[in-house]
Amino acid sequence: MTGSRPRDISPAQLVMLLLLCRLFVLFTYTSRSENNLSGPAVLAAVPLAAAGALLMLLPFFLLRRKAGSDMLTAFWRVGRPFGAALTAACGLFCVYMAASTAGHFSFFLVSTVYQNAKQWVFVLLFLLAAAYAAALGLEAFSRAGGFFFAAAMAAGALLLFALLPEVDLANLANPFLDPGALAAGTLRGVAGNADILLFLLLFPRVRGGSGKTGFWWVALTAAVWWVLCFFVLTALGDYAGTRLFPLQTAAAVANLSVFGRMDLVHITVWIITAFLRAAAWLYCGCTCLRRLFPKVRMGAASALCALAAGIAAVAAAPLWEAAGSAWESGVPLLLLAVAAPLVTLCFPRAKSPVEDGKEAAQ
Amino acid sequence: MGVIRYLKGLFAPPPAYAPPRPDEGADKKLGSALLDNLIGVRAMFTDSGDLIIHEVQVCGVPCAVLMCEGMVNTQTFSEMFAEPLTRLRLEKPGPDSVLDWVRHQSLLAPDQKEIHTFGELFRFMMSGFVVLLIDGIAGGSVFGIQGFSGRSVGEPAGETNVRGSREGFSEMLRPNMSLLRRRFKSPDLIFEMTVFGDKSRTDCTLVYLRGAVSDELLREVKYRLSKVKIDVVLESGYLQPFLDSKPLSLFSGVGVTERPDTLCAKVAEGRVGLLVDGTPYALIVPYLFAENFQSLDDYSHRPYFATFIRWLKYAAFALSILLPGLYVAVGSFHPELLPATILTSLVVSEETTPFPLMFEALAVFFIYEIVREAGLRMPQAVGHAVSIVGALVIGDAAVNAGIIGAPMVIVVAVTAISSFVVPSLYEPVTVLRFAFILIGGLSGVFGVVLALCAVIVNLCAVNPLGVPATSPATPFSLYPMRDVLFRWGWRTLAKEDLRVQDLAGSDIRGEGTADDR
Repeated sequence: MTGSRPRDISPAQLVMLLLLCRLFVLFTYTSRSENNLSGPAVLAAVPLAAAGALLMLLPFFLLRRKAGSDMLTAFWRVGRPFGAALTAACGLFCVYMAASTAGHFSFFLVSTVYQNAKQWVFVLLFLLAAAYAAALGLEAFSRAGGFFFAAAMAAGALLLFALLPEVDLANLANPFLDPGALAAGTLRGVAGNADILLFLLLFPRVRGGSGKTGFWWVALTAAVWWVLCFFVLTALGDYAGTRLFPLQTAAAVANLSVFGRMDLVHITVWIITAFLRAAAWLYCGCTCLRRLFPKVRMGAASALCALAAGIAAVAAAPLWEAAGSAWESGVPLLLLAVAAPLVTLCFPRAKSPVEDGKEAAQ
Repeated sequence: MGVIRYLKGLFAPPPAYAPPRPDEGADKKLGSALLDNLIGVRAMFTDSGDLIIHEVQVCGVPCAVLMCEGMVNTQTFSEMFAEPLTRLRLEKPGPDSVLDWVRHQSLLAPDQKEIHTFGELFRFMMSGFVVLLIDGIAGGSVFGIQGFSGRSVGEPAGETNVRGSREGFSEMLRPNMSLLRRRFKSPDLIFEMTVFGDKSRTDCTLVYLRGAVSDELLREVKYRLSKVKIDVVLESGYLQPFLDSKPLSLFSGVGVTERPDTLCAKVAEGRVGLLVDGTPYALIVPYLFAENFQSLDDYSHRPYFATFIRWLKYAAFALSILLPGLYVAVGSFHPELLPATILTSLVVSEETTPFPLMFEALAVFFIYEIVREAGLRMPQAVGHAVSIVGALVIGDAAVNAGIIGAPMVIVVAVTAISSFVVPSLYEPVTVLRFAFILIGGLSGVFGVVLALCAVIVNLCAVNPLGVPATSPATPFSLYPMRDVLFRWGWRTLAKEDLRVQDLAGSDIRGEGTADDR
């Protein structure tokens, strides 16, 4: 009975987990003008990007109606080569995302906090902890996500409260003034939302999950994103666009009574979100690996994925820029999260026997 | 071959619940010839000086009374057992009529049982029973007139309360059971006797409340206990790892208490208790992490004060784990985060000391743990002296000699006091404290936060018998939270019974025990 069978998680746990994963990206790039969303346009681009994310979830839910909620199983039902290829692609994407999280995080640390330290040390420690969490299983780190979510929300509220005196509405401009920037920002917001694949891969482990889960995740993430962008833009103004990590700058600017600077709070929340995000991607990587090689144990799979992610994050650093730009185009995500479910839908074999049974009964 | 058998075992279905193994020598029956039985007993009990055998004639029938020296109440034995037996006059004397009188016409002891094997004979005799063997009868009778000395019921040293009962468990199993029964006058409170330890044959009792406990939970506890293969059980801690779901985790899913009222409260919520003869510490499963911060006083105090105390405990727990590590991390890597005045005093004190903050912290805590351990193991009077010497050496002389800084002494003192606020978590707190100092000194706040994340995931992975240890905080359920972050008043608490199997994320379901089905 106990201690042996894997447990499912609740929809609320999934929403909290994915929201925190998305928060990591927001902490990294919010309102960074030259590479990501343009300053004023971000406030309009965020809701539009959320609508885009919901559209990207549609093929999966169509597939779910026909073939059940496990996308990988549906791939394998089509055929072994098809299933193996797509599972391997998903696994590689997951490892890449874990490496990307470790890389971005360690880059932040060596560029702002520990300026004389070696980046590989942070990548190693970070992936070690994330691999441990992934090996303990989804239910363990998604439960931890509940604590982290509460901590992140409390820290965020404190940060924004401390930032209130710096808010100046004069820094806001009409977000629709530059339609080009708005369109680019929206597209980047959708294409850069790799967590959509995370949602698709974790959804089968959700007890009683439905379309509402996806909606709540997208809506809550957009709301948090919008609020953070609003505060950063109004508090820092054009200065935000010149900073590498604008939210960290905003935290350093914020001053709350005896607490002094708030960047420690920012760093803490960032570490928490990065840890959780890397653990989630590694876990999904392990899931894919174990679909391909069912005899591999969870601990070994987690170590293998972390090793691959570590090599990708450190040793393959010269290739990182090219890989990063390919990823930012959103093509791999579109292929795996949208095209693959749509193609699978075309195969009658993908249909779940359980669903067949239900239809026959009806 | 061994490897293959091991691998096969991994995939084999778990065996069904098997009751604890019968006594050693249980297969050897007591015969009808008294002399043969006595020879058998003496042969098995050879070289031991505490066996007492009295051979007497009861109405002309040869009988033997067996007992262990010092385990029987001599006054009760003389008045209630020996005198009626020796004065016995029967119309038709014979083995059967003596046995009939003992069984059906007399009341020689409140606890009276029949035995049929040597194993049973030894177990009862060594538990303080008097054994009566009658020539011509295959079997014997045992009488519970124990009188061994033991510590009386006293105030539990580790769980002192301001209000409430002053009674704690003692080392004797049956008085402990009576402490529970006095508080729970219900036939639904079940004591299930069992024996552990192939050599020690230690008596233990499973305690649960029929109707409240989940049958699935009870079955699982019994199954895990049936897997206990151990020669000697001297303390409940010997059995604890067998009940823990993740014995290698930092946090245990098995609770320990020496208070009967605490055990009653837990049992009422559907948990299972285990009393072990020879120890005042009872085990409770499943045990949630939040329960470490609850005490019986919480339910006697006014809700606002109980809530305040609870928050104080959470803060003390966080301080005792994180404060030294964070102090070392911030002082070594991020001094800019400190307010200017604190930073100045830190710099001034560190200028005069020879070691880096991390070594300073490790050394001071190492010495502190030595002093604490010495104070604990020494006789009480000497223990105080050790504490005073330790305090003077660490607190005053070391600072004056410039070996450690004064802020470090304050950090150590605050941390040490905080760690005693939640005594049940002292083990993980001590280990984690050292780990966080090391990590903080080597990698700063980054390392401390990352390690804290790993520890939280470790805690969240603990599922004692199918109930998440972090429930009801995560997975979140609102109603049980009324007794976690806040302690609502009794009007609210009493509205609905809370059972452990109903918590969010629980794998165990169902009401009533296996016996009900």
